[in-house]
This record gives sequence, C-alpha cells and structure tokens, in this order.
Amino acid sequence: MPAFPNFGKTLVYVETNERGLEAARYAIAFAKRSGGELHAVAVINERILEELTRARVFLKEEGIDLKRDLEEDGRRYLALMERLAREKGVAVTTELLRGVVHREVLDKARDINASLIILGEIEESLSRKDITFNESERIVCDARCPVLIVKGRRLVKDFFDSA
Amino acid sequence: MVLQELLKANTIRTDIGQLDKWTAIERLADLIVDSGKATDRAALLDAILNREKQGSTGLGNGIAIPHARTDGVRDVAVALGVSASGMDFDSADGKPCHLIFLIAAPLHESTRYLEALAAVASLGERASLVAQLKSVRSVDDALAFFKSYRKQSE
Repeated sequence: MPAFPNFGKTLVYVETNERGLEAARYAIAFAKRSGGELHAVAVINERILEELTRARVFLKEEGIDLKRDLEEDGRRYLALMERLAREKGVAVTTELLRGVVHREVLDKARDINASLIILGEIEESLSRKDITFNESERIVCDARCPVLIVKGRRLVKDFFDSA
Repeated sequence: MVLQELLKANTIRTDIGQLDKWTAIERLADLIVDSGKATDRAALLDAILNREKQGSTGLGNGIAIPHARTDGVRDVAVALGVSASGMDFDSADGKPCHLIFLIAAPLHESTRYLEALAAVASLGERASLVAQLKSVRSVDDALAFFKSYRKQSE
C-alpha cells in the first residue's frame, strides 16, 4: 500500500446524498492509508427551512415534519458511514449538527483542529446569490486548512476497495 | 442544477392560459402522471390539493409552488405551467400568478424535495428572471432559460 502523509485530524462533511457517500468512502480509505484521526459530520440545513417558512412556502407543521425527516436522513447516512468505516477497521467520530451548513462544518473543523476537510463533488447551484448557494463552495472559500473535493465514482470505488 | 435536472420537456406547459388554480394543479399533476414519475394519480392529487387547502402556495411575484410529499410519486417530480395572462392563485401579494411549479416527492426524499422548493423560491425572489420566464412561449425556450439560468443570475 503506498505511503500517505498523516494529515492528523480529517473532517468529512457527509451530505445526505450519493455525493456525501462518495466523500465518506474516500475519507475512510484516506484515513486507513494515512493513519489519521477521522471525524464526520452531517448538517441539517436549518437556514433553508427557516427561509422557506418565512417565504410562506411551508406551513409551520410542514417545516417541522421535514426537519424531523432530514434529521433521520442525517442519522441514517452517519450510521452508514460508521458501518463502512468498521468494515475497513477505521475509527470514526460522527456528529449530526444543525444550522448554517458551511458555518457548522468550519466551526467543527476549527474545534477539532482539523488539518484537512473532505467534501463530496460540488453540485452546480442555481446561482451565486440564491438561498441554495452551494454550501460546499463556501467551505472551500472560507476554510483555514486544505480542502479535498472527491470526484470520480470509479476512482473512489477503487480507492475504497483497495484500502 | 436541480430545476434543470428535474424539469423535462414533457413536464412543462407554456400555454396553460387562465385556469382556476385547482384546475391548473390538476393539469400539472397530469404532466407528472404522463411523464411516468407518478405511481398513483389520486394520491398525488389528494396530497397537493390538501396542502393547498391549508394555505395558498401563491408566494407573490407571479409564482406559486403547489407541493407535497406523497408516495403517489416514485421520484422527485417538478412540473411547470406558464400562464401569459396570469391566474388567481390567492397569492400573498394579491397579484396574478404566471408561473406554477408543482413539486412532489416521495416521503423519503426529504433533501431533494427541500432543494427543489428552495430553488423555485430563489427564482421567485428575482423579478427580472420571473419576467423572463413568464414571457417564454415554447417548451424549448423554457428549457433554454433553465440551462442558462445560472449565467444570467450572476
């Protein structure tokens, strides 16, 4: 197995979608090779929920129901990450956070003194001004440590399988 | 981009005219049914209509987003109806509605559903883009609008 630099503490942001899982797989394989400490977070995007309620898209009840389901999604993806990490013999600390996504991820990176943040592929957002402004782009711009963007399903699969 | 990905030629109508909002919702739900994304037309329509009865989804600025999560669809689905003349949707600003985005998602698709709703709400915040979209007269023009949307709004 090729030698990898030990980056110390790595934080992976696990979006509750396929991109998030790719990032999780890559981060696990990376931690296995580098021997570094791995932390994973999923974040409930409370900002969008609040803005949609304010914009009258949601009735109050709808927002509450959706938030509950988003929390379930977050827990499910983090549980899946833990299972994948166990399969590779990698220890991971997971946490479900709530708030503005990029702030939560960056605050966590600072709190644990992460020396690397791993993100899934960045999806094109509607525009740079809208409320769905890509949170991952903000993480890349504002991070105070290196950020690794995971791309290429085949490469990720090979990297994970061979770890 | 979520809207570009979810809106297809067969889920857009640029000539829905001046219907009442309940008929407009039904027409758009049928686009989703015809596109093959619905598993149960009655369940889809019930969910959307029930939500609308609890409070209008006419946001103002010419946009309405009738929506619901329901197992009447197999995947996140969006249909768009454009009305040049506008229709009454009990909108927040009392003005006619020209763009109706019907959004439906299975119960387990919370994240994608939220993204689709947020994408439309964002569009609704920019009057120039709403004006541009409500003036499209063909499905191809509507698709071209969403393809170039990001560039226009920067």
